[in-house]
Amino acid sequence: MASNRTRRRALATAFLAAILLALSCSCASAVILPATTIDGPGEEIVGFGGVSMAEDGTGGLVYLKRVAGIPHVFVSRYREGHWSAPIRVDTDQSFAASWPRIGASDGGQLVVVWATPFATEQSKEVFELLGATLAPGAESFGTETIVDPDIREAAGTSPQLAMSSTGQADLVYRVVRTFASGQTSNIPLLRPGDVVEDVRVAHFNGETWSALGAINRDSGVSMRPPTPANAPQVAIGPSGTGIVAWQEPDISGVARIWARRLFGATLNYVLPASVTSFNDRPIGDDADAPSIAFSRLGQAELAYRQAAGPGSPLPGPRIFLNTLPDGESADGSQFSGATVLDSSVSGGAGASIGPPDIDVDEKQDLRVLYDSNGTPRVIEGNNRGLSGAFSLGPPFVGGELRSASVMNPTGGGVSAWASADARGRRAVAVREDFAGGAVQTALVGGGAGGEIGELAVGRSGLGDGLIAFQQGPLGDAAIVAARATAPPVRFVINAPKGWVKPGAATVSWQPAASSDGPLRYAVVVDGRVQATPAGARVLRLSAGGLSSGQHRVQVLATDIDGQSVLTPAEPLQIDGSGPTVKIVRSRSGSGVAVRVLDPNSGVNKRFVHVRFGDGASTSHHARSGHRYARAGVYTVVVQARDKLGNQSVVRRLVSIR
Amino acid sequence: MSTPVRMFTMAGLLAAVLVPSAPAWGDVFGPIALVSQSPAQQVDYAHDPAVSADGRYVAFDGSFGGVTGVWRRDLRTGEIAAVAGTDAELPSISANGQFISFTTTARLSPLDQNKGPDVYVRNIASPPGEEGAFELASAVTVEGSTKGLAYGYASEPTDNRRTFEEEHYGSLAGGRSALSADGRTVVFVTSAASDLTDPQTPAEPITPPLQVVVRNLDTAETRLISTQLGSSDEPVSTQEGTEVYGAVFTGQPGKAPAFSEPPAYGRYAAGPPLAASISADGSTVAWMGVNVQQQATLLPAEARSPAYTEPLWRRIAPGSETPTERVTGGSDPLDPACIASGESSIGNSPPPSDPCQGPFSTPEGSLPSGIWAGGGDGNFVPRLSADGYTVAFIARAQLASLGEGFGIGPDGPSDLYVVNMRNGHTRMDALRQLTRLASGNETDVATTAAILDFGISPDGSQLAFSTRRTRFVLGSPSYVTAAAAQAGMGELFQVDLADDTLTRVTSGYEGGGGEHPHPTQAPGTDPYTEGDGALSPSFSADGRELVFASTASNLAFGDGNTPSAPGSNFDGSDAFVVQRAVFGENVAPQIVSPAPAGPALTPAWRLSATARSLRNGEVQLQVRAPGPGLLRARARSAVRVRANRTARRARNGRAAAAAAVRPSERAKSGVATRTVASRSARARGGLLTLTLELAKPFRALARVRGGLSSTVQLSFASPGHPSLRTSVEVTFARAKKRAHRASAGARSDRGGVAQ
Repeated sequence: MASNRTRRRALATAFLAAILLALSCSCASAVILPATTIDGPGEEIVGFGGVSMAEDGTGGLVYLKRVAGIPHVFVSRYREGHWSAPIRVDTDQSFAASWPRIGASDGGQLVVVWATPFATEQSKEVFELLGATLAPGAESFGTETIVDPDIREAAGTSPQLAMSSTGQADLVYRVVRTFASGQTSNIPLLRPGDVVEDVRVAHFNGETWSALGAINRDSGVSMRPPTPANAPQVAIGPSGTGIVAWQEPDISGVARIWARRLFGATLNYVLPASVTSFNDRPIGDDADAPSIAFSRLGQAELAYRQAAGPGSPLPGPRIFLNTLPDGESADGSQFSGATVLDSSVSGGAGASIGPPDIDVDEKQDLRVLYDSNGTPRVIEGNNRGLSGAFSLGPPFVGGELRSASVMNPTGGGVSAWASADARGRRAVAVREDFAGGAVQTALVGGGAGGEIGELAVGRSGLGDGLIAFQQGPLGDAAIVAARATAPPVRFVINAPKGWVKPGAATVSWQPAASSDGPLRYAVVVDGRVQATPAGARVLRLSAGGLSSGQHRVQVLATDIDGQSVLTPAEPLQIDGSGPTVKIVRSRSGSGVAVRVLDPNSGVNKRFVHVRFGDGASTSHHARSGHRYARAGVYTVVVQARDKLGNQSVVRRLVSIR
Repeated sequence: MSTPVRMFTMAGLLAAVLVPSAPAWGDVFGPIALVSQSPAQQVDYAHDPAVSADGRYVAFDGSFGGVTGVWRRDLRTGEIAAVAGTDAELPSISANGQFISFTTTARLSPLDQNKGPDVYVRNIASPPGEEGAFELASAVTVEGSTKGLAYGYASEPTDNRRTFEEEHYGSLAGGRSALSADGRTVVFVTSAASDLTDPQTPAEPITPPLQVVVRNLDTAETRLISTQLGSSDEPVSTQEGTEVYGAVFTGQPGKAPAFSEPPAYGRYAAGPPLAASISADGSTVAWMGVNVQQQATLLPAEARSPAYTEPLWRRIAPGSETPTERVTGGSDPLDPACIASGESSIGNSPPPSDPCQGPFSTPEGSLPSGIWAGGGDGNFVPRLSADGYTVAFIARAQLASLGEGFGIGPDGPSDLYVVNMRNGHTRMDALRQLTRLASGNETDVATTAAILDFGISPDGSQLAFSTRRTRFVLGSPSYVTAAAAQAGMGELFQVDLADDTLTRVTSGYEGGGGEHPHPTQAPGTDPYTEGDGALSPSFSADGRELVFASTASNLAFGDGNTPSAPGSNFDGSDAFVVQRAVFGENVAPQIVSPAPAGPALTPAWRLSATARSLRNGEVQLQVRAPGPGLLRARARSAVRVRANRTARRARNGRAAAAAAVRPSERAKSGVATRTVASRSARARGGLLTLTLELAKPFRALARVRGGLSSTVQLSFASPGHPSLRTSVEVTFARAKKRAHRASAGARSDRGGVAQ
């Protein structure tokens, strides 16, 4: 018996400790998390392919690592806040892999594509594009499938893979056509160095790849030589519709930015996305560095860089922004027209402008990060236009590297760019802006340091970002990843409307959207956290101490990183007590006045009964009076109920003179 | 132009070509900064600097504005503080710079009753007049009573020499290494007979001179360290005629050096300071010993004269205490090969292959013999790493493994060595030579100049030494500084054991070596003398700050105290600091600013309560208090009272306490509102359960049909907050055993709230 009591006490203590621990954990708040080195540094790390994140917070990164001297594709999966040990993807391939890219969807599913040689033509290797899938719960990738059987020599392929949380993916890549020795293209080269190139798209429907072929506007026009800056870009929404943007010369030979919507395996028509003139003067310089983002509702935001050479109507190179509406709020069949994103750029024609990175949310809010003369600049906007611009610090350091901008649907967002500390040591600067105006900054890097190579970001769509990069020179490079997490999205709770008895005080709530789950919930009554079982979505409040009257109830959701969100307060009207009875002796002392009150749910007069102790009684009156015939001490008994059925029985002695 | 002049000119030109214009410290050390100055004034001279482990403070002795004594410079603020005046010298400094030990003849404590030099520790946190500002370290404590050591002298009290002896012999502590890092343990050496072991008879001190003593200022324990082997308290001493050999080598056979006033420092040719070293952790003591046969283990039949010298080492920390051990020497009786050989003695010149041969060739001959054979220039006090296990020392004896070497005898110019004193090493294995003579020409300063002074970093990874030598022939450590074309004044060098490099630290701020003005010399004449230049190196704990003294006037721009002509007492020496260049790593430390606070929960300051009637006639309250405070609950009900009694009690001013009235008395009774139950409790915030029980006079009312209706008034008081009140309607009803249903109906469940 005693041991049972001891055990119960120990269990109660443990439960209390757990509650306290849970509450204390909610005070901690991890937003930007330090970087961890996924692999390396070492000479076997030979390339970084990117990172992807699904809405549920799972994701992965891909890179190239030599095995027995041959580069192969490796992936580290990200799940529940942890990076897994790298696993090799191209296990069936013995040839060198290149151009790895990765996409992530909910449940931990990963799709990886890469190029590998499959044949030799006239002493030159011919490559194919392969894909493999890591199913949710699986520990190894499935069999490789061919995405494109012939991408020639895989020169400048620069594939870009976008995957929706629902498991569909679009892939855009370049295929530079090559010619046998002595042969030349019958396509005239518009500029010296131009190449003959296809921009191709492939679609993944969740199970299989479909090659949609070349999507560029005119296959008879030469293209600028492939660089990282003029690589095509692709974005996809949760329904599987997407958009692709690429650089291609127009009829005047000037490279412009073009775009096409993708409806699964169906291509829409080509849309011009960049301006051809400025202030009524033609722009004769190439546009490049497209960055495109796609909202849930189908709105696309496109940012690109417009060069400004001699004679340009632009004062210098600029970032332009163009919007393709979702079709609901405005005409979604064409871009609304590109405009200069940030007019405050110093340096004139000699200004140094880096490639932009854009993100958009379903509320049509957008956020662009770019390098303006070494200064990180963030431009924010919404459906009414640009709403703000601000500079971040520290400066960009290194070559022309992509930066990363992540939109938080609740406001603010994450920016990440290659930078350095005060002593010039290379690191990635991360800044998270919050809806309330708070800011968190970080300099993150791998344990071995070194210059930042490629930088990529995987977005959850809920404001979280997986920031991954290669650090250190080839031969001693490392794959490094950091996280910037967003608090759970605000959610809805249901509390009883009107007056309820304490026993009926039940609060329920919808799950909060978060990429950093599982979440812990705690019901908060009058600012005090109530013990809430893990996994509960509904809680009946403890009646103890829950007095009658107005209360306010909220729910606190806390993610695995300690970030939390508190719902707005909902009123909770509790009535757990019967009516109040006031019995007052009259001034003359020969009678009494009885008053039945209930400031909460109100008195139900049907159930009001008063016995005055001398045989007289009355019913159904909240106010009543009685004059006694004789002096003496009487017991007045009042029975009353309120509208919820709470009953009062009051016996009060009165002395009658 | 005469030939010698032409040669000198040519040498100068050659030097100008060979010596790089950039400072020699280029890639290892930063620029040299002058320490011995206040923001407004440079010292007249400064010697024996010691840097605190935190690298912030430098203590030195010297003259500042004509006032001699020990000073402390704050490298961060530039402030100079006086530690002790007059003839105070040879400071050692604690890790945080608060405590500084020194030697002085001044009586700074009433415990000091002699005229001679004594060792003090200054607590610079206390002003000089305050108790505890100066603690006498050369003292003993007997049965809780502390007294300064009393000294005895060889001469009769009437002897003319007596006054000199009384003023110049006593206790002395060395510079830089006499104080533990916490500033509470001091090692010193007695230069006169003392009453250390017989403090009850101070008039007849019997403890022989030249003993190593450690005093812990916190425990007030003074301990003789230089005991005879196998004895815990027997001091070491041998008298040969007029020569007295204690435990510590003095630099000359059988004679203790007289304490001398500044500025005789650094003139080590005239006799180095008498001192021993203690490790920063206070665990280990080392000294250059004589009478080695009395103190440490030799071969059973090994004959050594009392004047035979070897560095000795002893751990004194509780738990790791050892008898006195030899750091190195001419024999190694504990070498397993020696033990296996069964040898009981070693010849005067044994072959290197002799299994009992120690690292050094130490033939007996001229006195003193052994490691510091022949006496001579140099501060030979061994220095310890912070943990005491690494010992640095200089030796004039030559390594036995070098055979005849350059033909230099056992008392040649000194070289620097470092020894690992952890168990498991033979003396040969434990030793590492850091400098080696570059020729057999003892008159060639560039190749055979002595190592005059040295220091070791607390972690044992760096050593610094001063010498006029310019050629260093060992490949390990590798000399990485361009060699000066000709020897000049003494320069400071640094050995990095981790990088295995040897670097010249000092150089003129315009390049070249250290210099100071000197009269025109005859062509080919060396303008500098031994001891002129850098001395007294000491490291901060992290090894980044290296502090030293130098008579050079061109190390730092603005050094203006060097006399233009010799002969002055003021030698123009200064204390300097140089920082080791630490190259930044390629790795940027990850910095993440604090995350913004999460949503704030603001608990409402309200008191809410619910009540429940219990079957036993009590009422249970569940009260949710907003925070810590005092909660009071008072139940008030209308009850019958006897009219006359009520009136009487009211007249008496007593508190209302009425009794239930019997039916027979009803005609005489009335009704009054009374407190029928009350309770108070300390609330800690959160839910609190209180049970109200009717006071005894009213308890029967709970049995009345329907119970006793009552209003519970709750109040809550918490400092700094407004008081909260609320009320709850309750019924005290005791259920009858046979009428469960009826009594159950009498229960109430009510609540109230205050805010």
